[in-house]
Amino acid sequence: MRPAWNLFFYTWKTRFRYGLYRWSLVFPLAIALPAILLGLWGEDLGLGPEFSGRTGTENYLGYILLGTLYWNFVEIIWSVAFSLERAVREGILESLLCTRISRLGLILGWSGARFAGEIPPSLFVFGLLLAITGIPPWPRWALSILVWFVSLGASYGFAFLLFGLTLRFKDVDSIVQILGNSAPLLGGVFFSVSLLPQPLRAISLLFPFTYGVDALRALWLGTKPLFPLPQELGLLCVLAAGYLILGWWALLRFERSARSHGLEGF
Amino acid sequence: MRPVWALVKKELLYLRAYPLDLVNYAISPGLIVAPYILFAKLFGFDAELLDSVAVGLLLWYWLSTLLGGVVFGLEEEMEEGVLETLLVHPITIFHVLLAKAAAIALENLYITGIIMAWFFFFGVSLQLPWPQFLGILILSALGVAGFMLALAAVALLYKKPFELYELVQWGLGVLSGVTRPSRDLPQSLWLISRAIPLSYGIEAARAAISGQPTAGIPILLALSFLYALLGRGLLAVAERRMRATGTTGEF
Repeated sequence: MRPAWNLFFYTWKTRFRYGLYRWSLVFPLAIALPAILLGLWGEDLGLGPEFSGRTGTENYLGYILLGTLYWNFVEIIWSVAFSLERAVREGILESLLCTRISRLGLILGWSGARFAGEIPPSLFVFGLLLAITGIPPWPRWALSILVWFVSLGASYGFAFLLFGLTLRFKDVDSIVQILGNSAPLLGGVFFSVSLLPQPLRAISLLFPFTYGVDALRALWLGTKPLFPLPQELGLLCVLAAGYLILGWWALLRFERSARSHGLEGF
Repeated sequence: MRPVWALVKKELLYLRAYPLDLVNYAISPGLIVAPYILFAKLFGFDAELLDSVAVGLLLWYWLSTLLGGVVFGLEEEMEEGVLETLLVHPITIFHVLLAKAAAIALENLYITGIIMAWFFFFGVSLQLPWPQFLGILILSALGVAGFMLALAAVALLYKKPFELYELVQWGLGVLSGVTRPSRDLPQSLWLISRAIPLSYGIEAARAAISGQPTAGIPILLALSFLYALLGRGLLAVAERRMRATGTTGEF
């Protein structure tokens, strides 16, 4: 574990090296602002009842902030593939692979540093969320934490797959972006997936994050879930476990293939 | 101009080497802007309001891609150690940025068409007066040129401009009225929006789709010129400092 800890600290320190990190404090709110302005506009136009009729809550601010927070942490885990891509670009991947650090250590070190860096900006949004919605009663808040943890697990499954793809295909920025953008966004960060056109809705139901964000909103805000809550939580757990297993399998397979093709960028 | 054309060609050749990028451009932009359209649908916005939101998102995405493409392109050159090679050639960093911007503008035409298709798929049948809209796009691109140069200057000095870029792109979007028209913002924010060229671009595009005359273009051009001058000045200072400290890569 020591090499993984060292990688964690090295990545963490690099984040603060160039002095612009402080600007990221407002980042989660920046993503949410266009939607918040839309919500305010809708309210001014007297369309609030339309929103509550479709979602089951009048609290559109809480709806947006919960989705933003959820997406922020899910994204930070799978985006570990970008750390690997950077190592390939900088020509340090071979050096890293010569050290005693394991594959899992690389992923945990990089993602841990990204995760830790995301906590301060997210705390700000979480504070806003608490001010707007308060804390839901027991056991809803506990179940919300459970949903968050399971979703992070699912995101690691995604991270394993993207890590493997990056090892094998080097310049996989495109694949990572397609998969990375489609998973949380098709999952309904700011909306219910029932609004998606049929083919996209079918795809969205393959992602655990769809159930995660929907269950989180149902637990925290009392919105109408896609499926009955116990069923939705079960689906989330099964898909998260499936993603973890398949992701790890894909990582090992891609790494074997990558080693036979040559590891560095071209 | 010859070195600039060579650099534009190099940027476009990447697409031949990595054709998956074109697939990405066809999928990711639509998925990034669509959530806002679907959120507006939760409120039951009618077709006219949805068109207004869609055209704002279209213009904003076009310009944030331009900003990001240039700034991260420069960051990549630094990470790969190519910037030093470029610096010893008889071209300036300004020319490198110009070439990147020209290549991204071409890619953006493709992205704009694809986003339109996504909007149609999500039930927003935006009818654009294309010649007028393309003119507004080009003028708005001039409007972000100054911000682009300033961000490139930050990239030269601070190496990792991601956080500031995100703040600038979202900040410009919100203040320019990407989703809600800037005239409806609180008065202090509305005053700030008057100093952002993109606000006039989005307003002109909204006027164009509703068949009204497009006002504000002269202000957009004047602000663009002013910011371009400021940006050019910042870039010159940043380049001089970078050369003096010898930090053409990460340190």
